[in-house]
Amino acid sequence: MNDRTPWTSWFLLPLLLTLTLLGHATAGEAQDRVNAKGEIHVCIWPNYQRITYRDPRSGQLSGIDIDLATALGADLRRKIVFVDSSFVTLVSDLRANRCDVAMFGIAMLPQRMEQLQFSTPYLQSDIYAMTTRTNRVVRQWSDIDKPGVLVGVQAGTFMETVMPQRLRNASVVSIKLPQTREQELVAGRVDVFMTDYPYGRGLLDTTDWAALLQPPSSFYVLPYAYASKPGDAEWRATLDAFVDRIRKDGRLEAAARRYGLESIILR
Amino acid sequence: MLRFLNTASRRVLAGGLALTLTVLTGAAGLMWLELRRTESQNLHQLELLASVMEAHTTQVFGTAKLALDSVAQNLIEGTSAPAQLQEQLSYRLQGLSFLRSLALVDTQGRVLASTAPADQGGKIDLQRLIASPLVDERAIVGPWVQGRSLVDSAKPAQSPARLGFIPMVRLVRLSPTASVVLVAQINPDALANYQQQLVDTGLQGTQVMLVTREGKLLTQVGNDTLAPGSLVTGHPFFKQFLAQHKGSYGPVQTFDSLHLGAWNASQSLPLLSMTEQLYATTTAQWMLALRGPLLFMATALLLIGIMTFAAWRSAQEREVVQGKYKDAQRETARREQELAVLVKSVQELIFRTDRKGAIHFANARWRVLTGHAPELAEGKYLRDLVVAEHHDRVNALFDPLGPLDTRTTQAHLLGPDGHVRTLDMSVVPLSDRGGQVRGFAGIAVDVTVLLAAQQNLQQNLDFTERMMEGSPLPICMTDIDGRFISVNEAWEQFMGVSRSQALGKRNREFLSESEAKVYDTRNAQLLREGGRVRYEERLHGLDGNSRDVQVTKVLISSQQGNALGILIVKMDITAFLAARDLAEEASRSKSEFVANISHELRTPLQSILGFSELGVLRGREHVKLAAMFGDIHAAGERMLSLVNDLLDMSKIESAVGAFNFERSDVREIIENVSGEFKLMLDRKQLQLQLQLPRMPLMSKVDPTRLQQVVRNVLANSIKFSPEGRSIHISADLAGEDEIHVQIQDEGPGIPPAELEAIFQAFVQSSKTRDGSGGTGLGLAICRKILTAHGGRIYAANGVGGGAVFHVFLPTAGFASTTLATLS
Repeated sequence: MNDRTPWTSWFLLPLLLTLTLLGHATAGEAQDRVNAKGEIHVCIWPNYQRITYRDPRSGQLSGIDIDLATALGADLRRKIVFVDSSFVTLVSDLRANRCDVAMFGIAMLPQRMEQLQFSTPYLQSDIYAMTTRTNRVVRQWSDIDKPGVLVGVQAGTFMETVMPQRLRNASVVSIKLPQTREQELVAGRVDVFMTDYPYGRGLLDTTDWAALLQPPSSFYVLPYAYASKPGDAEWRATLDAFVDRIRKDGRLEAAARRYGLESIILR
Repeated sequence: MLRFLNTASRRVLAGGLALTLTVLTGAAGLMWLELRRTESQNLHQLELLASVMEAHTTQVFGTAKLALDSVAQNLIEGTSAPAQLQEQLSYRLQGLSFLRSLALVDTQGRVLASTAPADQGGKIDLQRLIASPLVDERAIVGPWVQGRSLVDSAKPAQSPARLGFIPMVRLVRLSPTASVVLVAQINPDALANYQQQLVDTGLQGTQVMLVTREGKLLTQVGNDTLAPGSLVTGHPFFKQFLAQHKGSYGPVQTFDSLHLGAWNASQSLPLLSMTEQLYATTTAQWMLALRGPLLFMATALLLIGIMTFAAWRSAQEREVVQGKYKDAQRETARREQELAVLVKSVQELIFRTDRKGAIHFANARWRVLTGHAPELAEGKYLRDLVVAEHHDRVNALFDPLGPLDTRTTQAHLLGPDGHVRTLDMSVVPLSDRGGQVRGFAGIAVDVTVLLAAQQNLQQNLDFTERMMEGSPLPICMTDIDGRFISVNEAWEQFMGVSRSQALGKRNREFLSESEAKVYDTRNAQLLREGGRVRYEERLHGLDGNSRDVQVTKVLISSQQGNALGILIVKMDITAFLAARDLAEEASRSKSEFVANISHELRTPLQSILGFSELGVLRGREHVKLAAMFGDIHAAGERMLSLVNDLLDMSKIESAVGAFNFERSDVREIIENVSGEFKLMLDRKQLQLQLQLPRMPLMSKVDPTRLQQVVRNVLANSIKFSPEGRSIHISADLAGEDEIHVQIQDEGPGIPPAELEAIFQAFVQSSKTRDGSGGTGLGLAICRKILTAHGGRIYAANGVGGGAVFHVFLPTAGFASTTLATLS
């Protein structure tokens, strides 16, 4: 993974032992499962550009959380198994133990925090707007909240709840699969859709028509963290320790830099 | 113009200018071609963009038409029940990302089915979607319609102003009486997204427009100054090119600036794809492309400039050199001409011959010597000109085997006038590089006159020589160093030295040391001051006798003033001096005798005067006695006066210390004496007129003696002036060295024969010898006084009558006031 692995392994072994002993009282099933299987099942959303993205041509996974999940596996000396998920199925997938941890830039929404446990946050993003470069209705952030404007949000994302609260004039259109926000925007059925920074940057990279609108001031900043099934403090401590490590040893920053996300990492 | 180009430097400048103009013209031509090329290239690219855009547009609309046709077919075939229709439309819609919605409406506009939930159950205005009524089953493209959904289009105010769609409408005849209408909403932004990519590939300032054939704008990308749906028929395209399928235009003024443009009309739809580009982009591109050539051109111009400058400088320098060369040529020609004139005007014969002596050239003097023109001299021989006995001499001059230096001879020539002329001939052989004599150059000087003069001079010299020899005075001539050049016989005898011993030696070799010193001192004085010196000296002869000699030395100078020698004449004055000394002794004895007698006479005279005066006083009662005493007294007075004058005169002559010289102003002396005579002048009613200068007249005089002179002369003038006349006294400088005093009266004057005699002792003028009381010594004393002063006095008669006495005194210059050196 990187040249610090041997050093950290010497350091980690007593740490893990300590954590294991400390967490024994609240040892959860996820940690046990991981220990038992020797694998870590990681939920990803493979359409999340720059976070967890599967290249439709090669099937190759890439993104900051793919790299960090691999780093987690290396730290814990466990094999990583990626499991496809989405924001809509996130809670159920974790609760159903389809995966041990969800690592795809999950915003720490109150609703989610009620149902899941989160590690220390490692990214944060505001809400951004995507529109077309040729759009004649929405050209800047101030054009969004105007009468007659339709604002698309992906069903299941936190925007679905945040945006109706924030918009006074424009209408919010919740887009459910199989419809995609991009299709709806190109067909003109919505004028703009809301997303976060990683997705927006990714879309800009892969299409010629997209235009990313940045809020002129902080609009709705949310921290991103790794989610896991609640009730497993030991596992959460393991994940927290991992986040602390990657923040300190530079692996987080290095990975963020690889995907152009260094501006949104929490140092 | 041609006159301007008459110098090389100007031609170089003109050449440089022409080259510069050629480069500029060529560069301008190439720039113009480059502009045309850039324009053409950009137009081509615009055509390409228009073509691609048209293909995409046709494909999008074709796909939409296919979808409508397919749904229509299903409707006609009855395979789609109305309940399924909604699902079918949604299914169709999914694959067509550019469609916003698909709807089925009846002919009144009621929506039967729609993919857009907002339109379901709504009603739309078909007239707004398409301009003409539907008459067949073709899919018809409408203009841009405002609104998001079909229902919105009926209420445009409810949606954003710039939000709209392009409707595609197709009539479906379900039966001969029943028809429905399929409506597809094509999202203009979906087209614009693609067009944006085309704009991105184009150059800066590129915009594309999708327009209906009626001129209504559907999309505009790259520049969204126009509102969708607006009419653009004002564009030049619609006036000029609408009939053509595709093409390009520009640069033309479209909208607000110059543009290049291209269009491509769809073959299957009434749509036009137009691309335009700001012409400024082309010019910018052109300028960018020109950077290299312009730099090259600037470098070329700089090089041309430098080379032209260098060539110009070089040409100028060459011109300067040529100018100097021409000046030198002119100078040479001028000198040649001067030389020719000089040769022509030379009074000697100049000639050039071949090695045998035959003349090639002779100057104008030939005519004088022979009486023929110089041109006729060619081929003649000089020997033929001279008298027969001198032929050999002349032949010897032109001997080719003779010495190579100058050869000279003298020969006689019988001139055209019959006189024999003497020529001094001088000939120089002219040799070639091998030393062979190839000719002679020579000069023949006519010395006939010179010889005659020489002869004459010789005769004069001989005469002088004889005169000198015959002179009884010892005469010798030395050079300026004192060496004897010539001496005469008298000198030999006088000096006792023979001529052969003396010549070439100095005089000091025959003189004693003291005499030689005097001799050299005088020589030095003569050489320094020029002119002549005369002095007396005593020579001690070789025989032991001493002689007094008066030596006169004259400096002989050339006409240029250079000293050539000294002529010395000696005169033996031993006997003369002896006689003079004797006479002086006699005179001195006489003076002393007179002085003694006078002194001795005065004592008894005082007694005579005293007693005669007493006799006059005592014999007043006896008239005769008194008269006798009076006569005695008068005679005594006159005698005393005479004795005084005699004594005075003898004092002047004998006593050397009788004068006390001091610097005095002559004007003061005259004024003082004049004052003394005021009473006498008044008595005779005479007027004294003094004319004295304002500047002092300084002289070194004995004031008492000079007063005596003025007093004597003025007393004479008063004495002889008739009553009521004037006496004029004037004094002034006469030259730098003398003061001239004139005393003029208006009396009877002096007979010319007596003008000099009156200055002798005891002589009076015959005119004034009337017993007026003079002793006849006054003027004699005056002359002696003035002689003692170095001055002089003489008398003359005035032009208007009366006598004039002229008194001259030497001035007291600065030299006489300076102290003598102690050496």
